[in-house]
Amino acid sequence: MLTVTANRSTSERYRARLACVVGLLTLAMLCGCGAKMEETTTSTPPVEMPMDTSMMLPDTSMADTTMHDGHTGSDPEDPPPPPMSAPPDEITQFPWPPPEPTLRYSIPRQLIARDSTESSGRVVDRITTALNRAGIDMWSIHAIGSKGFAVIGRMEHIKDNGTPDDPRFSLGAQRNRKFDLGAYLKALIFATPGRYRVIVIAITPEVIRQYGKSPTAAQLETLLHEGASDLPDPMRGHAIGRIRPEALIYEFHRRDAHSEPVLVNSNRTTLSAVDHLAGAGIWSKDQLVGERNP
Amino acid sequence: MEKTYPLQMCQWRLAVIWLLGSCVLFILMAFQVAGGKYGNEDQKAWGWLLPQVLPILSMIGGAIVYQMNRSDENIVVTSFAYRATWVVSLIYLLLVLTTVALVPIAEQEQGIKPIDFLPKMGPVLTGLSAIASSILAAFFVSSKPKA
Repeated sequence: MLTVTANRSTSERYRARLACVVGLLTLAMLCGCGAKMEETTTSTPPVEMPMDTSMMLPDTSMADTTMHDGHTGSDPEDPPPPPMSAPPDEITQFPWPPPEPTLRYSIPRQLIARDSTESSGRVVDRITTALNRAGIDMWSIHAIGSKGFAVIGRMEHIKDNGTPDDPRFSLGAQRNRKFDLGAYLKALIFATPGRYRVIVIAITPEVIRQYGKSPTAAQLETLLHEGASDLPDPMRGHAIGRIRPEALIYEFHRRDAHSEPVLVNSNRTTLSAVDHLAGAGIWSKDQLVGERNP
Repeated sequence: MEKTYPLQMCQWRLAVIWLLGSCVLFILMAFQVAGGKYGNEDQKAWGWLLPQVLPILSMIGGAIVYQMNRSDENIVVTSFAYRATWVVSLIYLLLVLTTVALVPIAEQEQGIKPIDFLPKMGPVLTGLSAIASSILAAFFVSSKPKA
C-alpha cells in the first residue's frame, strides 16, 4: 500500500539528513577498518606447520644412525646433523620388536626367495623390483639383527578399497582445476579425510613375538629417510637361509586435511592385509593367497 | 513527489530478509559442523557467525515489537530509506554467505584451515555490518506520522 506525502520539502530534508548520517558513518568505519586491517597484518604470527613432538624414535639405538641421502627439509638454522657413526659396511637397524602395525601378513616364501641358498642381494632386488613395479619409487632398507632386513616403502594415499588415491604420495589435497559443483558442495560441507598406508616388508629368521609402541607417521617417515638404498656388499652375499617374510602394514587416517594422520587399529580397518598388498600393486591376490608353502 | 511506505510493512519485509538470510547461514553452518568441516573448532565457527547477524536481528525484532505497541499510529517511511536499507541488508547477508562459501576454495588453493579463513573477511564484514546497522537506525529515524 502506498501513500503519497504532499510535503516535498520535508521529504527532501529527511533524505539529506539520511545521506549525511550514512556518509559520516561510512567514512568512520572505513578508517576503523583500515586501522584494524593494519593491526591484523602486523600482529598475525607466521604460519607454522604443526610439529609432532613424538617424532623421537622409540628405539634409542636409532639415535646414532646413518642418514640416507634422500633426507629433506633441513632448516638452515637447525644444528648440523650428528656425524655418521655407523661403519660404512653397516646399515641402520629397524626397531625390534617392530612398531605395532595395523595388519601383518606372512608373505608366501616363493614370492621372496626361490630357495634358502639364494643370496640376500637377490632377495632384496626382487622385493625392490616389486615395489618399483607397483609405482612405489622410494623405499629404504634397514637391517634386522645380523641376518635379516626390512624394506620400508613411502607413505601412500589410498582409497577405501586399498588402491592408490590421487595424489598417491602426498598428504596434500587433490587440486581440481575444472570446477565440479558436486565436489565443491561436498568440500563445502564435509572435511577432507585421508587414508594412508606404509608397507614394511620384513625378511628375518626371527619370529615376531611382540610389538613395540605404535608408530606415528612422522616416525615412519624418519625411518624411510634414514634407511639405506641397498644392502652392504658383505650382507648381499649371504645366503638368505630359512626366513619368515612378513608384511607389516601401517594404515593411517586423518579426519581432515589439517590434522596429523593417526594409526588405525587392526579392529578399525575395513581392509585386509591382502587388500593392501594387492591394492598397492606389489603382488596380486592370487599370488598372495595361492602361492602358499605346503 | 516523494513515495512513502507504511513503516510496519517495511519492518516486516526487512525482518523477512534478515530471518531468511540468517536461516540459510545457520543451516549451512549446522551442516558444516555435522560434516566435521571445522574439526574440533565448532565453537569458534559459531562464535564467528552469531555476531555477524544476531545484533541486527535483535534490533529489527525490538523495533517490530516496539512498533506493534503503537500500531494505531499510521507511520510511513520514505522509499529511499526503505530501498537503501533493503539493498545494504541484502549485500551484507550475501557477503557473509560468500565468506562461508569461499571456505573450500581457500582451503584447496591456499591450504588455509576453514576456521582460520572466516576471520579473514572480518574487517570488511565489520565495516559493512556497522553501515547496515546505521542505515537501519536511519531508516527508523526517517519514519514520520502520515501527513
